[in-house]
Amino acid sequence: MNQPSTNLVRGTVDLLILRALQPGPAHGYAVSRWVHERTNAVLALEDAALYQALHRLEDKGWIESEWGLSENNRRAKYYQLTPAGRRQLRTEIGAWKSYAEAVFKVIETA
Amino acid sequence: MKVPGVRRLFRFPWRTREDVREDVRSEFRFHLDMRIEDLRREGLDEASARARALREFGSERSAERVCAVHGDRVERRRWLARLAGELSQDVTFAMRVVARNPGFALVTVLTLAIAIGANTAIFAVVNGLLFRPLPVLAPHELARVKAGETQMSWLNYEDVRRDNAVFEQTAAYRMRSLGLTTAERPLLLRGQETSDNFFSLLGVGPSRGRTYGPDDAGRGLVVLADRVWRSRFGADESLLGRTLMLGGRPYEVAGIMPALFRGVAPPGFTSDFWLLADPSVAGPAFQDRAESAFEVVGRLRPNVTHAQAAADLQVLARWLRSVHPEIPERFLAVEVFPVDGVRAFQGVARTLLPVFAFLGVMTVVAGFVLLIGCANIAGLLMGRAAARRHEIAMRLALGAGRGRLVRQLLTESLVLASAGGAAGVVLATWLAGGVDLLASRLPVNVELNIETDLRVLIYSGLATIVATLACGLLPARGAARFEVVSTLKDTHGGTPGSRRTRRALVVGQVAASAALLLWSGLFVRSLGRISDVDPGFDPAGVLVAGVVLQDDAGEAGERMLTGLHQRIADLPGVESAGLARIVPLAMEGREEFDVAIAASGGVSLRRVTANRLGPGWFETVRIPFIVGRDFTWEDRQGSPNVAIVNETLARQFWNGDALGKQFFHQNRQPVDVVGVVRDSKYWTLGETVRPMVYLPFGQSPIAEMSLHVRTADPGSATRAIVGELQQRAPGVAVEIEPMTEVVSVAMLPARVGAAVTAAFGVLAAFLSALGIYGLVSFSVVQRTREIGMRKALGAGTVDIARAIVGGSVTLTMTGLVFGLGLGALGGIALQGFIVGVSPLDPVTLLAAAGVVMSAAFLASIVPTLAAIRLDPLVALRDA
Repeated sequence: MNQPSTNLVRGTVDLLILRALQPGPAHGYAVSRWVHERTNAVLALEDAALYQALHRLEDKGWIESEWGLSENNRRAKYYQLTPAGRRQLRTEIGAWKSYAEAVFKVIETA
Repeated sequence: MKVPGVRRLFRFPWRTREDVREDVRSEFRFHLDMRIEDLRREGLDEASARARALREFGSERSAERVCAVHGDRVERRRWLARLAGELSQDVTFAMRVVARNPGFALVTVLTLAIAIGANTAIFAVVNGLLFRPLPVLAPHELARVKAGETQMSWLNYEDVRRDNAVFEQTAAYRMRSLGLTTAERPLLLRGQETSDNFFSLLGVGPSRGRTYGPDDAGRGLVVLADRVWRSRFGADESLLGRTLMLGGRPYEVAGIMPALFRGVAPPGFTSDFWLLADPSVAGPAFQDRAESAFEVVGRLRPNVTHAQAAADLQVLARWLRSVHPEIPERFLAVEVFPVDGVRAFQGVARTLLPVFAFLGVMTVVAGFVLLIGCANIAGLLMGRAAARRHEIAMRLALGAGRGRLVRQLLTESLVLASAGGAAGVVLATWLAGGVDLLASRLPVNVELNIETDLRVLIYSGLATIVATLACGLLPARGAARFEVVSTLKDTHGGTPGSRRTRRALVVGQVAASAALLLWSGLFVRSLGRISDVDPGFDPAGVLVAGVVLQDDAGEAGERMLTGLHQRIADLPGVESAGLARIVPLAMEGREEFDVAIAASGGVSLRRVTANRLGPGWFETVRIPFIVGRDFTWEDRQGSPNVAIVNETLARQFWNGDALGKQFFHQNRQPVDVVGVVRDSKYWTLGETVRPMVYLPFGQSPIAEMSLHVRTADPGSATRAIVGELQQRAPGVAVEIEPMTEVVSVAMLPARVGAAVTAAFGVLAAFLSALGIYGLVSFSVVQRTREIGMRKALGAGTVDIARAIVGGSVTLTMTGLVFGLGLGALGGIALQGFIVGVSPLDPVTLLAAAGVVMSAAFLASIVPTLAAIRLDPLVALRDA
């Protein structure tokens, strides 16, 4: 499978994670499943990369984590958006839309 | 490495790196388990489910590393945030506690403000003297040269400048005191005459106009100091380019130097002007190799050390001496020393030694006050901690951590200490300003570079932290060791341990204030004695007119001074008059040299102090002759060399029989002793009189002389001196003052010492009285039940009073014994400053003890009365 450029992937992964957490707190596995299902596995995202992204986003202060109990009563780390994270999500969605529109326009007219 | 014991003791609230890694691993484990479970639910067998989950996951190890790095950072941030949150909680709480008790807060903050302020002010002075860099370009590259003495002749300087291999540039300067002609009478200015490269060497530009350089050779140019430009010329911009008459010669004002520029003079010294030396002028200053007048400073080449520079210059000095045999041997002892820091005081250390010693004493005294203040506040805080035992026990019982509690109590003292520290810095600025003002009033030219700079702020910050810990640590420790259950059950305050600590604090306070009071007593007594010390001469009724001629005034100058002397001596009302080079005890100049006398089996060299006089001086200042005659106007160049010596010299050199003896001096010609006079003080009142030689002014003329006039009518004598000088030598500066005024400089250290230690001593006594008061009234509150019981059982007023006061008397006496012992030890160190009083002076010891005991007594009265008035019924019911 052809890989999109890394920058593109990283930006996209950040956006996807933030979007996945938008409805509410979730643990890493739930985020992973959400991404797979929503993208129909088009993005072959390794879980290792996903977790690195989660920790990176936490370091940036966009999400925060807390240990809690999972649906099957196991200790799991739950992530949720911070106010800064919500703002970031809005900006990224806006940026993605205009980017996609621009690219789409070019493809359509060609 | 993990040390569980330490961890348990301090309860590190943060998670370690290993903890963070473990978190990441367990997060991954959870993910994989969940995935495997899901895949098995989809029908895969255990092994293939695991394989697939692992494949999907990717590189676990590198992910773990990256996650742990982020995790550590997150962890650290969280910890800081929690700490900040707790701190702000603590500060808010502390503010509330402090505000609830404004009287306590006020006393504490004031105490600390005074203590920290005094310490900071003294540090600001020390900082100005020792630590602030010289305001020139790269001062660490500059070095001064000392060849036997710090001065060098111009010709030697020229050779050193040309032939040395260690300095990039070398410059010379010498002190000049010149009269500035003004509309009224000439003003005396003290400045420096410098080589043309002086300013380019230092790399400092003017604030207005320009400086001078090699292109200005032969021009009469002067650059003024900012201070003089402002004070004498009202900061007049149009002064630039105008001509000033200095020492009777015209100089064009080239520029003004920025404030605080002082050339390379040691801290505290100033210069009013800098003028361009003109080596083509005839006279000994520029043409006599033996006339050492110039200080030499150079900028070291890169990577040349002081030792290397000295070694190179030593070789050069030896070569110079082989070419010019008239150079004295001591010229070979070359040293190179920095222009900054302690060593910059080389050559003037003797002048400044009392200042440093004095600052040292003040530092110790101020440190004492800080300690007493802190002990006091610690005592008060402990009292309050005891009163707050229920609150603290309750909080412990409700689950507050002990560490947290200690931090909270320390925060309270930090809040108090910070307020005290801030007020202290303001106070220090005022105090240091006062010191500056005092210094500017001194007859000596002193400019202290005192400013509240970063170093001073850091110092006061440190003092605040020390105060916080000193005040807060003991009470906080007490709180941390608290027994919750017994406290909640018990209704009486105070554990035996805390009471013991408080008693120790009070003993310490009493001891420190007794020591301080003893010192201030010694200073005050010494001040009383010092005016009784006989200086050996009588300054009362004598006017001193300091006259500064041009160095090269030569015979005309000598004639001028002689004429002035005769004219004034003949005035009605003038009893007698005499010229002298040095005014004794004025601390403005001193002269010392070696003389050779014939001794059994050869010649022995002896060090003597010296003065140069005209006829009539001894009579004017009333120093009596033991034997022999005064100088006359016939003692001049060409006639036999003569000298008058003091008793001490006569005794030490010739067993008292000095008349007609000879010694040899400088030019190796014999000098006959024609008179012996009574001993008198020369430099300070406290000194032991040293062998002294008086030489006649006529045989060694000097450009700077003071005419001493004993007169019943100082007003007309002053007018006559000024008028006479205007007529004979316009442009010659004269400063006229009563001799008593000039001599009073000698009393300054004792006066300031007495004032400062007395102020601190009284303050310390007040603080320890406050401490005793706090302790006694606290113990009354604690013992309410006991007192009530005793009263109910029939104890009388006296019994109760004895029980209460007895404790404080024991404490006070213990403190006194320690304090007076310590004070006497310190007094021995102070001996150089206290005149005529033994450090074990019984009167002073008794007085200090008396003050401390009365303070302690007064402090116990109020709480004792409260105990006496206690109603036994109420006491037993409520306690």
